[in-house]
Amino acid sequence: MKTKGQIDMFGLVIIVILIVMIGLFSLFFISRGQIDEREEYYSYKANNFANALSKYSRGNLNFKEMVLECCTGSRCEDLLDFVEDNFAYVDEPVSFEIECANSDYSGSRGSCSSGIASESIILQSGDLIRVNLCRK
Amino acid sequence: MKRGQLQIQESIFVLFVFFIILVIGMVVFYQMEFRSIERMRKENEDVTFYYLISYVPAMPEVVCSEKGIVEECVDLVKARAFASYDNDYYRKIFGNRKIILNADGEKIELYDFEPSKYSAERIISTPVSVYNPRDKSYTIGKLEVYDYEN
Repeated sequence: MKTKGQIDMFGLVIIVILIVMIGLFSLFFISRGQIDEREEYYSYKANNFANALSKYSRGNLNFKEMVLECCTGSRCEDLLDFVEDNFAYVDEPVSFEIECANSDYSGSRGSCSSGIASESIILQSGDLIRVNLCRK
Repeated sequence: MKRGQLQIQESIFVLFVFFIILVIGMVVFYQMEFRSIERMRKENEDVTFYYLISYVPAMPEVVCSEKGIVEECVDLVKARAFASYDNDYYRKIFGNRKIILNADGEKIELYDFEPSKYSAERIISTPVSVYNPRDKSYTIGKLEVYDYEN
């Protein structure tokens, strides 16, 4: 048979243990916030690749002209082959998409169908290009 | 024992248990705090490292610009000139890292401070548009940043 004092003591100990446990758990969960800097890194990378492609111009090879030609109905495969050749500049799986403004044509190339998308770049012709990048 | 003595003993025992739990709690809390600070330091280092991939191509030392208008690309001639600068000035910005621009079949070491000993190496890279003012061409290059952990 326990005395009243023993019961009081037991109750107090349980309350103290509970308070300490709740405090520790709340501290643990409060300090768990994490920054995902890799998300921004991949997004930046996708944007950079789309930007670098859209600017490409050397000798007779001009990306904007290639897009224009593709969207007027010729040499789309050449454009997509050119883009695929440049996938080597990105270490992750990547895909390229094009949507023409004045025709129904839309094409894509690459192994990353859904991932972190770059901003859509609308060229002077109104045609749209975009890059998707998948995490490794 | 008298009732009063028993109550004093009870109070002493409760206080004793309370302080033991408090000390255990404080030790656990400080360990968690220490780990948390260590994790934050690591995260901060990571943020700084990943930030470099956007910082370097936008540096006035290498970014394309014409008549004060900045364009989103790396000037090949500026990059070559920058590679020949003294590294010491940039050491407080880049630390123990190596930054390489692969453009036009050329490997330009923009910054190199590779320590003689390091425990781990991390590499991040991004494609960049590279402008060559000599033939006014835009090609694609690859910027690589190496991070060395001691």
